[in-house]
Amino acid sequence: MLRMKNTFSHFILIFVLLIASSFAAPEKKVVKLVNKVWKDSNPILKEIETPDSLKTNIGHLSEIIIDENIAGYACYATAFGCKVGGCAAPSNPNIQSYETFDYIVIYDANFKVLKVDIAEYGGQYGYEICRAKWLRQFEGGRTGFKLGSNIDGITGATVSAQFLIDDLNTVGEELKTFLNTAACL
Amino acid sequence: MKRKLFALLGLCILSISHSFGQTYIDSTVNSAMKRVLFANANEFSIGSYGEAHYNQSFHEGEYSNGKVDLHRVIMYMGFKFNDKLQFFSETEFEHVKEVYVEQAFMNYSHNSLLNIKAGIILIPMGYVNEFHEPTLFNGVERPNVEKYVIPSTWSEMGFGFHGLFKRANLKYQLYAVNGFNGYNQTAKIGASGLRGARQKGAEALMRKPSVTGKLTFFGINGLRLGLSGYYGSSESTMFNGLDRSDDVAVRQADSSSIGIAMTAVNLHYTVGNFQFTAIGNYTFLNNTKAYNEFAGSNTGKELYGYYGEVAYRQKLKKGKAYPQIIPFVRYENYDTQFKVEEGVTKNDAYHREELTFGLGYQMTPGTIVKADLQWVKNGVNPRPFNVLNVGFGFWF
Repeated sequence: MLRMKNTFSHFILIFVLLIASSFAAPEKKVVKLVNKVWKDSNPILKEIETPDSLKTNIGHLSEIIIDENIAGYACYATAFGCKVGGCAAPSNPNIQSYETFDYIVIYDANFKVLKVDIAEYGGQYGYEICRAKWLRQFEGGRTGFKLGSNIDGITGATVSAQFLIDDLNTVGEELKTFLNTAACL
Repeated sequence: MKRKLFALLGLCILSISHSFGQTYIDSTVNSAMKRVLFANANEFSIGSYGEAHYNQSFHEGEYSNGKVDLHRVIMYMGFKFNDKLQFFSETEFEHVKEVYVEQAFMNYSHNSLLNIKAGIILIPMGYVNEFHEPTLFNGVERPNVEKYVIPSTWSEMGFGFHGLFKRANLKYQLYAVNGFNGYNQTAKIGASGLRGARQKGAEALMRKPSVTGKLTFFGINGLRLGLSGYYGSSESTMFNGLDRSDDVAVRQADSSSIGIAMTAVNLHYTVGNFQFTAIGNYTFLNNTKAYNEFAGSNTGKELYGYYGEVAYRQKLKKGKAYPQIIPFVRYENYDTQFKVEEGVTKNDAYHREELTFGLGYQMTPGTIVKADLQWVKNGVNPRPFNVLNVGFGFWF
């Protein structure tokens, strides 16, 4: 009985620690992921002011500097997930009633996707898109992602998967246009 | 009051017509375009699902009346106060004349790991209790294991946490809820199981909350594997105003309550066009000897149920996702009086086996026509009787 009580206490402690660790700010999550991609290169993140065209999607946008050169870009963005209450409405057109989720996408200097990670998924359905193996399919691509074509369909998360793909295609295109324009000025 | 109801109905109709008046969300339209298309939409969400059934049983040497039933029509209503805080409700009209609030909860999403839910919530047990829209399960009627052993639709008042352990590909749910009402002047739990003792959060008795939870693994594409648990004691009106120092009365009240420990495993695997589903449930009840003696019941001390199903999804038009046909076969085995205490005669009529062959014709993601034939037998009369079921369902 005492042993069971100890196990339960350990379980509660681990759970509390996990919750405490989940309170990290978005910027910290981006830094953590960037450091994972460029392990031994001491990347430095320099925030870029998000252009108006991307403000609806992107919360934070940063240049990644390694040895004084731009090695890539990191975005912390928000996309739509399932409808409030579940992915129960394949035809519900009221997009504002959808749940949202946050993701991080890291590009190299040529806007090739190096990493995609789901930073926050608070929804009750469609969470299967958090699976790392499924997210790896975006790596190496730029835009033009299509569900069921170059990105595998995902059982139980068709709606959120589609929204993530839509967002990555949009963000990739608009970010490239914005940064190329900025470089010309 | 009537005026208010008409006003609400009018508002619903307006919302629906407004929704249909807008452009259908095509999956090829990107998010930015959607934002523009629906820039003026508000955060109110509405939806519905429903099912109509025809059931005809055939018993050898007997006439049997068939039954047509608008089994259920459900209205969803939700409101997103902000990206973190939402309300969701599901109001059910069952058999035309009964009204239930099946779900009504507030949900606060802090982050992936920590979300808080409070209100009338679904007990996360098995599969159908959480996913019961007509296009999400095969067969006209819901599987009977998830009706008689897991008493779907099973929702109670409570609060708790849910979230994701992303690195482990696990979703967790953990809730404290009001328990079953085991005794209300008469026994509510019997040989047919716990179904009649659900309180559905309606002025529910609660002395001690029950605890329920579920872990779902989603680490392999196409696979969803869940492990659920429920632990608690049934409630009883005998405790109302009971004198704590009256040992005899307290013992008597204790006899009107039983302990419940339920566990279930659910597995769904989609590979190619095939879909495999398996559910297993085992339930232990304690204090049933005292309960049966006190309340004059014949409740078993252990219940079980399991089923396995194979379905095949076939698209009918090249290059189009719908329509689809879904033939399936399902075998169910359950006993709501599997083991009994001394003094109770086990009735094998509660041990049932069912074999169902059926076909679904799904025209769109939200519409389906179903037909199936069931062979049902029990331990007392091993000659099976047949049931023909035909129905349609919708969901939007």
